[in-house]
Amino acid sequence: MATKVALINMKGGVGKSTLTVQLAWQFAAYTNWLKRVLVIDLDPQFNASQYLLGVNRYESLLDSEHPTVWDIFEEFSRTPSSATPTALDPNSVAHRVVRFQRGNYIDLIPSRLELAYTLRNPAQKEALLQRLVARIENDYDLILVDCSPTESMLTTAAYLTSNYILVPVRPEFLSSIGLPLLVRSMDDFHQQHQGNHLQLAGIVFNATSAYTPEETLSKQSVRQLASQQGWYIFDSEIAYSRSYPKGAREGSPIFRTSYARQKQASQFHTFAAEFAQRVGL
Amino acid sequence: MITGREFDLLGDIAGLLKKYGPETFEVLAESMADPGTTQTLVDLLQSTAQISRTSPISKKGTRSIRDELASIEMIDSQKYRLLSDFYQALQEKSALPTLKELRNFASDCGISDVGANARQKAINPLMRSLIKLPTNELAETLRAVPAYSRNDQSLQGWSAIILGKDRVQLNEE
Repeated sequence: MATKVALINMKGGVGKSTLTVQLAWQFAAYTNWLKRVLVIDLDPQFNASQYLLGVNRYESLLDSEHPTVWDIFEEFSRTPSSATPTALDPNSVAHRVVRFQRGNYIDLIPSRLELAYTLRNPAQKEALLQRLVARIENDYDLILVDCSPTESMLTTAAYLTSNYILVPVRPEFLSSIGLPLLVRSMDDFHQQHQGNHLQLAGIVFNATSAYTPEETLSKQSVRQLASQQGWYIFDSEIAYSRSYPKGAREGSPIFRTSYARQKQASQFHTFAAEFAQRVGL
Repeated sequence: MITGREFDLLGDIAGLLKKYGPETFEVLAESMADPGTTQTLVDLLQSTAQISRTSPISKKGTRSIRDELASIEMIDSQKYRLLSDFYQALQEKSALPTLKELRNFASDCGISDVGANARQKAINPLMRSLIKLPTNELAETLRAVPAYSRNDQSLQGWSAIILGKDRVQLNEE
């Protein structure tokens, strides 16, 4: 049974997709882990898909009509041309991004823009992702769900699918305001789904630059709120580096981005180790 | 009086005599008495020597990878294209531009050590490992090469997907 973690914050631009992809690479590629990893891109902006596949592979995937996360939510939708919905083969949904010779791999359930249209008619769709993942999760050790930054049926789908939530927070005012929104979102979810065992793995400060007064103030506010909620804050932080956007362009994780500083790579490795400990990997 | 050099040749001839047998040796000796045969042999040796001089293997191993690729071209054109494009990209440093990146990728391919301290020397062991892969596995493996499979015209490419190809002019490769 896989460990399933949703990366979420009700604020955009905090680095969810980048963090998702970095973690996927860390756990699949590093020889001390060698995990089988699935990334589920649950954001209609499909940044994780862009990062992992690049435009050529993504385009050929769509051209070949490979299923995306949209197909999961529309599996049972009827259209004038298909009176009977076609059942989705769960084994056909995940796309192999990279396969290592030692048997570990990164798979992706890609997203697409049309996922936004699903939100116009979201009724009774929130459990479909969980249902599909239950049928394929034995193929994985770790499943990472990259969420969109607004409360919707997709958020509930991510909660239902996951065991843990990881919350990246940029230590700046607007970014930290996403946290109370998330608290409310999780409260609502737990009220509606009593008995669900979704846990918060923790909050990680992302894209830090240290020693600036604004950053210090934001961290203090976040720590105070986390303390009130009993939420864990990771000891390790992820410092801002231009190698992260560069890596996204190159399709590389930080430890393989050309000319990335070793310090950045090892800092992320430290965070990944702490994360693994928190979620029992 | 036999000189040391002539004595060495005699030793070699004795070895060849043992290897091919006296009958073969006698037939060849008769043929060699014919000036035409001797001239053909001299011409052959000279042309071989010329090829040898004009095609030195200055970059160790480079020629043999190209030879291997040439033989693959006759059997599997898709595999040849994948390998030759990648080999070209390696030579131009448009793929795996540093030794570290090349080693990382080799490690993913199951080659624990490419056995070189210089990027140029690490290319051949990597190529030899890739040559052994079946075509579909090779294609999958090469997709994992950072940046190499992403000659993307990145922003134009994504714009074409999002807005539609009719609204975005892509540069022809």
